[in-house]
Parts: sequence; C-alpha cells; structure tokens
Amino acid sequence: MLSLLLLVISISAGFLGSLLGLGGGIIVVPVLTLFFGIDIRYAVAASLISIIATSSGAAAGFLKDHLTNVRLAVLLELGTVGGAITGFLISSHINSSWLFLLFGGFLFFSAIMMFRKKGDARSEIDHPWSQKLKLAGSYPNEKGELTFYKVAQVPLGLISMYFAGILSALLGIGSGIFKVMAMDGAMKLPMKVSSATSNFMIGVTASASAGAYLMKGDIRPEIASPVALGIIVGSWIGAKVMTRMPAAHIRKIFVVVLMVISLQMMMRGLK
Amino acid sequence: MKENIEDLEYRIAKFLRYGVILAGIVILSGWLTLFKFSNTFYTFKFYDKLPLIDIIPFHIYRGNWGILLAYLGLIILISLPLIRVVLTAVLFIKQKEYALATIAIIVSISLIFSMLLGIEL
Repeated sequence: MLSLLLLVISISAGFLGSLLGLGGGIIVVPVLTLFFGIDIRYAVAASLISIIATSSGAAAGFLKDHLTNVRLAVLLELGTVGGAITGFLISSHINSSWLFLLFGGFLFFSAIMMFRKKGDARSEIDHPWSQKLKLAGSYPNEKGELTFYKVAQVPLGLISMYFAGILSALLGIGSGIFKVMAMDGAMKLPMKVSSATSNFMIGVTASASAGAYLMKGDIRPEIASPVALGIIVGSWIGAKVMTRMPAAHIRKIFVVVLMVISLQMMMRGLK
Repeated sequence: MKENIEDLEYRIAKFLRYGVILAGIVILSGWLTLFKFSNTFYTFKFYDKLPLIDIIPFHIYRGNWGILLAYLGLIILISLPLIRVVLTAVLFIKQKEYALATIAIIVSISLIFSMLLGIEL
C-alpha cells in the first residue's frame, strides 16, 4: 500500500509544483526521506526522473507561446550540464547529513524567494557574446505586440548556471529558482522568458545526472516509478486548472509549509 | 521564408511529449507488475551500492519482468532530453548556424559523457 500512497503524494506534489511554479522535487525529496524513511541518495535520484518528465512535458506549451529562447537555452545548457557532472562527482564523496543540511538551506531560501517582487529590469546593452550568437529576442505580450529584449552579462549567467547544475545533481531538484534568478537578475531577461527558458533547460540538466545515477544503480524503479507517474499526472492536472485556482493564497500557505520542512530537513542533517 | 528555430523546436517538443507519454505507459505497465510482490520501502532505508550492470542480469535471471520494464521506461525518459539536444544541433546545422550547432554538439557529448560517468563509480 505504501507504493500507492507514494503515487498519491507524488500526484499532489506535481499538482502543487506546476501551480506554484516550483519543481516537484522540492516536495518529493522531503516526503521520501522524512516520511518514508528512504535514504536521501535514492530520493534524489528518483526526484531527478520526475524533473525530466515535467520539463519535457511542458516544453511544447511554452514554445507555442514563443516564450522560450532556444538559442540562449542551448548556450546555458553548457553551464548546467557541466555543473551536473561536477555535482554527480561530488555526490559520491559527500555524506547524507550534509545533503540534508544543504537541502534544508535551499528550501529556506526558496521559501523567502517566493515573496520576491516580480518586476522586469531591461538591459539597454546587448553583451558581445549575445551579439555574436544573436541571443536577443522578442516575445508576444498580453496585447499581442512583440516585446523585444537584450541579453546582458552572459558569462555571469553561464557561471550561475554551472552552480545551479551542481545543486540540481546533488539535491534532485530542477533548481529552477536559481536559473530564473540568473536569467532575470543577471542577464536582465523578462520574467516570462526566464521561466519558460528555465523549464526548457531543467530536463537537460536533470538527465545528465539522472543518467549517471541510473548507471550507478541509485535509481530504483520501486521508488522512481510511482514518483515519475505521479508527477506526470499531477503536473498535467495542475496545468489544466492553473487559471482557476487562487494561486496567491496557496502560495502564502505553502511558504509556511516550506519553512517547516526546511527546518525538519536541517534537523535531520544535524542528527 | 526560413522557418523560425522556435517553430521547429515546437515540433520536436510535441514529439517529446509523446515520448513522455510512451515512457509513462511503459513505466506504468512495469510498475503494475512489480506492485504485486514489492510493497515495502524497507530495503531502501539504507544505501546499498549496486550498479545497474549487476542489477539487470539478476532480474533477468529471476524473471522479474516488471522491474525490467520499469527500467526500460525510465531509460526512455532519461534519453528524451538527449534526443532533443541532438535534434536541436541538426536544426542549427541546417540553418547554417555553425557556432550554436557546435555548442549543441558539445552539450550532447557532455550528456553522454555524464551518463557514462555512472559506470564504475
């Protein structure tokens, strides 16, 4: 019956994740470790699988709306995949207490970031790398007019992506929060473009480390199957009802939940 | 008019969505078979280093087709982003965007390299 329960929880995780724009991993890893008592390394590996599913499943929708900057995504994937490789290599040498602490810290940070104001700061200058690779782009706004944007600080963006990749591989998260921060904070991309491009990239980042964990034997179908299936179904439902839900209220409640889980994860790490 | 890269990517993404559904169905069929005999997570309380190369022959020998099917589904899912990046590289080559094509090829190779890193660790 535990497997069925895990399936139900994963559906809720996928649902909440797509509603709040967070990855399911942020919920799945604490559930697997704190509630089911599964070793964090199996939990991280199972969670990465679900990230690939949500990213690949949602990409078409964002591309249809012309929000994804594919050219930029390909360049930044260099950073995230490099980071994922580093993260995987570190993971063999780090003990699980540290993983719990790191995860707790990341959750706390994510909870605070949910309060962040969402304003778009545009860049007037296009970085030379961006000019060379023609990374600047445009997207249709609510009125259907094209909004043009430039891309600043490309090298800083790449470095941030490298660290996002490390965290993704270590913690089994998409680390979309860091990707979005790097893109709208450092590279001055519009928020919508950052979110869509981040979603497009997290699948590639996750597959780099998920493939390695699979070979290593850390991805066990007994855990990963209900998690992946649940997240696929849950995020699909979430995307369908997204516009009809009071996301702002759910967000406030969820911030508190995240804080509590974050403390529990850190306490587990200190044990 | 030259087709926009985003429009071409959209077609790849639609294809990938079917990939996710296919992987989901394969995982589900494996999991349903698996479900009958594996109902506890107790074995996963403690980490046990066991490479895939040793797991697969064991399950083939025991005839645990459910687990093997679930593994197949997971492998399909993991390979989807790799397929996407390779197809993106092909798109860029066709559009004579050689700088971005090179980057996409490097990303693909890094992905394969990363997956192989899991062996012998």
